[in-house]
Amino acid sequence: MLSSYRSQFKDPLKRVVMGLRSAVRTEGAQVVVSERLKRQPRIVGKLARFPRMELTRMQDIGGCRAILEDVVTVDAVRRRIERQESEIVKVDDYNATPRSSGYRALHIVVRREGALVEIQLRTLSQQRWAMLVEDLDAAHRLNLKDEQGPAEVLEYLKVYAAGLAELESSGRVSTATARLVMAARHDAQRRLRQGGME
Amino acid sequence: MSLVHFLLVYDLRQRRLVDVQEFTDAKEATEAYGRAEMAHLDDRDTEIVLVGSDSIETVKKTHGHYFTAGAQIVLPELVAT
Repeated sequence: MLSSYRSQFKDPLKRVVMGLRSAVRTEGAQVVVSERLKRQPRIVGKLARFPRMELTRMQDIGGCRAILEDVVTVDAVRRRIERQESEIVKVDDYNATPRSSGYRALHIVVRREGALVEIQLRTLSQQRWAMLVEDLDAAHRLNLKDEQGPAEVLEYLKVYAAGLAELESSGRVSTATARLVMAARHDAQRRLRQGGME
Repeated sequence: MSLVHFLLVYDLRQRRLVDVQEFTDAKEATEAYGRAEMAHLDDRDTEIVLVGSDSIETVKKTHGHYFTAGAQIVLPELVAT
């Protein structure tokens, strides 16, 4: 049942992806775009974590992602998307206000043919950070992606993300930031070596 | 540009992809996605995802963690500049 509900998002998602590809291409950026229908266990998990959430109000069953050079390109692509046919339902600017995990990206929820579709715009360094989170989750069977896991690891990811953002915006990393990352990394590594977190 | 769908079956214990199926028909792909998920219901060691893109090379960039094949994870440092 969930699977057939999910498949309703296939066509609207396809059209949103075409729009996203066009926005990236028109901006003169390399088109690095993928789409996915949310995995059923992730849908069930999200409903369990947010008991008041209704399936029909979930905004990311259909989702797509573009990897872009930097935040300047992200903002330019965003402006192009806002001029497109899909109705903009919500913009979550995690560049201006990062999630407590350190996650940064720009998420735009649009409505297309009655369906909600989420567009994620990430910079290269944001993608590298997100990949590290996914790798750690897989290797240590954690759920850092949903901000669950050992405090030391979460703290490292947070300060590392802030450091990457500093590097991206200013072209440099301050000594204070580098020290923070080094200390947090030390604690996170020790915690990960202890294991037993499954 | 036609989109290709890749059905990825990822083994969390081995941290590597154990199967990749390619579909040019989106309907067929979503049906296979549902079937594969059903086949692995309650299997917490397997992750199944359907990703659509122009090529597998792009999927490696947008969903790269499925392709690291058990490589050791190094927590990166940042060097002051």
